[in-house]
Amino acid sequence: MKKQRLLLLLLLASGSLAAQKAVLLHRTNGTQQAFYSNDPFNEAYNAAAKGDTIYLPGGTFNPINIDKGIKIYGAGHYPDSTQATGQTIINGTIGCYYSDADSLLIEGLYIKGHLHIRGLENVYVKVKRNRIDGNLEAHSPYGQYDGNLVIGITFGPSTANTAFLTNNIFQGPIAGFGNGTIFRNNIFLAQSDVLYSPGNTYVNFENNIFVSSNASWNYNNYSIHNTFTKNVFAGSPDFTGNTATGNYFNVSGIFVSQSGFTFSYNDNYHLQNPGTYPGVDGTQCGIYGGLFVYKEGGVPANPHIISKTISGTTDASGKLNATIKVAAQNH
Amino acid sequence: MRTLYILAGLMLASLLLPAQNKIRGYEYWFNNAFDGKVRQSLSGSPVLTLETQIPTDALIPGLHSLHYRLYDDSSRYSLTQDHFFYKIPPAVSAGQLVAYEYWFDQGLSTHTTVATASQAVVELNTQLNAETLLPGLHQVHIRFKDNHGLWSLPYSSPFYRMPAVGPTQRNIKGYQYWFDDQYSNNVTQLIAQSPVTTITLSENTLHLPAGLHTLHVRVQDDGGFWSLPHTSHFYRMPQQSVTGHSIVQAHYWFDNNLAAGVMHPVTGQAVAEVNIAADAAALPEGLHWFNIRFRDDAGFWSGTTSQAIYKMPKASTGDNVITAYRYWINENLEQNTTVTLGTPVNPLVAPIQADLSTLEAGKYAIRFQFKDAKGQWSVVTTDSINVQAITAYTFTGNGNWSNPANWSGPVPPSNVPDGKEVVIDHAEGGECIIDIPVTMAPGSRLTVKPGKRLRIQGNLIHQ
Repeated sequence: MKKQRLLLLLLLASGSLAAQKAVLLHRTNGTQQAFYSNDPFNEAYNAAAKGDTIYLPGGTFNPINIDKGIKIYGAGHYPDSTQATGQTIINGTIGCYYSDADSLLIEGLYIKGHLHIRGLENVYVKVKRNRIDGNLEAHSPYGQYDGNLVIGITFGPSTANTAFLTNNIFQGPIAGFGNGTIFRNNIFLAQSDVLYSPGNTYVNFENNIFVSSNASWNYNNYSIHNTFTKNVFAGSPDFTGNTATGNYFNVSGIFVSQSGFTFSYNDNYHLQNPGTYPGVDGTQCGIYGGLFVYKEGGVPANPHIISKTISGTTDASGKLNATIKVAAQNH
Repeated sequence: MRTLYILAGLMLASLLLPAQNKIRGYEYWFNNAFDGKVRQSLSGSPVLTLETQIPTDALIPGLHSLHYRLYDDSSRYSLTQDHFFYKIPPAVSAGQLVAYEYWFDQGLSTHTTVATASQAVVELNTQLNAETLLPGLHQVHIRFKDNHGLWSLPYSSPFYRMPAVGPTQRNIKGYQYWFDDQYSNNVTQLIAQSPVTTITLSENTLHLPAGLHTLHVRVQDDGGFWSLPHTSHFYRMPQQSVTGHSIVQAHYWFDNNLAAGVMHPVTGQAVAEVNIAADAAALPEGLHWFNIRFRDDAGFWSGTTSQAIYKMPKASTGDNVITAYRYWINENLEQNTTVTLGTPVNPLVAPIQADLSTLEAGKYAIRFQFKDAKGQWSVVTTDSINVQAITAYTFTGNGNWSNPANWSGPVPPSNVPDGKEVVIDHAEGGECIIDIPVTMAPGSRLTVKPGKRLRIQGNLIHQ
């Protein structure tokens, strides 16, 4: 009887082990390694070196701190586009602190904590198509942040920086960005204090859409010396201390379908009249204009599994029938 | 008051002397002049009552102190007695003015004194000699002295010293100019005399540094008098701006990397339209700043203009496609089955038939991963599957048993286990040849369909 119980437990354990998600590490030398443990992201990261790529499947993973210039691809965060894989969820804060994470790429994650990119050493960091429920600290010189959804506050460094934040949706305010930063083709959903404390100075705002019509959009007027060009405003904000040129004010009914000041996957952020609000480059304002047009579903750039139908059982001849729809991505 | 009565003081001093001695004299002095003390001898008496007058002629009016002491036969001194007193100025009789003196400006030392008839009131109506003064504004100071030698406060009055010449028409005879505060480097020029003249300066200012300067000019008439200087400001342009210049060089760099800047020659033009194909190959993909400035043939640089640019990734040769996929069981990545698509497509929607016939019956995880033309892989999709036991192996081809192509499914193992069946159902006109040793375990079964043929070349063991 004892033997039978032990056998049953072993069978259950083996079944559970087989169902573990696989995190794959692709090294630059062509070798690959899979991780199936209870903390596979962490293990894969520890095994990775600069330039390597980690593929995170759908599922929930523990957060890590990063000090290597690696690439991390998740399955995405949009429910509709991750039906076949599930969202890749990081259950905490990803930190990149004053380390050499040059050329780090983070794409297609749903980060339920914060994403901290701190330190001027972490140059050329790219953060793309993620959802960040906490705050985004975008301190990377020459960092590129595009296609993200940031629910919390987005902070930048007060020092001169060449950060490019483009085609993002910011539900929270932005604060602390300094000389050289460019915000282009973003949507700012915050109802008030869009420009928060610490203030933003010498920042270029181009082709963005500001949903707020609240007069207190610039917290205590801390944000000064900024330049606003060809942005769409639902209201007519006070630009005291800043420079505004060619903007569109008091625009109502901007989007095809959107209401309130919080993000919703059910909203449609296409413009009702895209030709009416050209930006500095002639393309439409908002996330569907500019160099990095917002990708529907926030699909990452690696091959994306759209759907799958896998027979749960082999047939009499030992064959397993599966139908998987997968799409290669151009960008 | 020229004397000072000191009676009371001396009486008080006598009381302090011993009775057997006699006072032989006394000494006194004023203020701190002990060295100038006056000593007076007396005939001698045990008690002295002295009433005398002490001359104070040498003292000026005002507060003073008198100090005196007695001495006896033994030349012993009493304590010094001190008294303060105020010397009243001497009574003055009705004053008579006897003289006056005057001087000009700050020249007190060159004053002129003139005696007048002694009188209480002097009404002065005279001409003061101001010939030595230069024409222009001056001040005269005058004061009067009485017969007591006392002077009045000076009276001062401004006056304008007219030129010595008469009001005849004057002519300009020359001018003088200098720059900034460099009067010592002034230039003086004589011109044809004229009441009104126009002065044209053509001074070479190259010795002056470029920037703001002042020019001071004054003219002189034939009387030798100078006008007030006229001061004006001017900006000395850089020497290079005197003639037209050309743009000869462009200097550009990316981001903050000034050290790696590139000098781009420009054909000398006053207005240059430069077409530069800046090499950004070394830049990583992403946002950058392109900075450029220009230099003219005089060596002057323009300000720097900066433009944000975005370096795009290398253009792909076409739309991306799925080129391959792989799958593996459980954690056996190394034993994966990779399938390269004969015709890459996008999207890939294809039925996949994974051959898992070698697996024992049971639960497994099957994992798929897909690759695109860029070499990127998808994330891994994992599914739990149930591998069913295989009950029959069917030979449907023609020829050897050992050829997998002759089996419709998996190839039966060389030891066919209990419960498995091998069915021979070869192609029409063909046959099945057992070319390897085959053992049929107890409970297994070998079935040859009607009309089919089985040829045994090796061993067939039925246990």
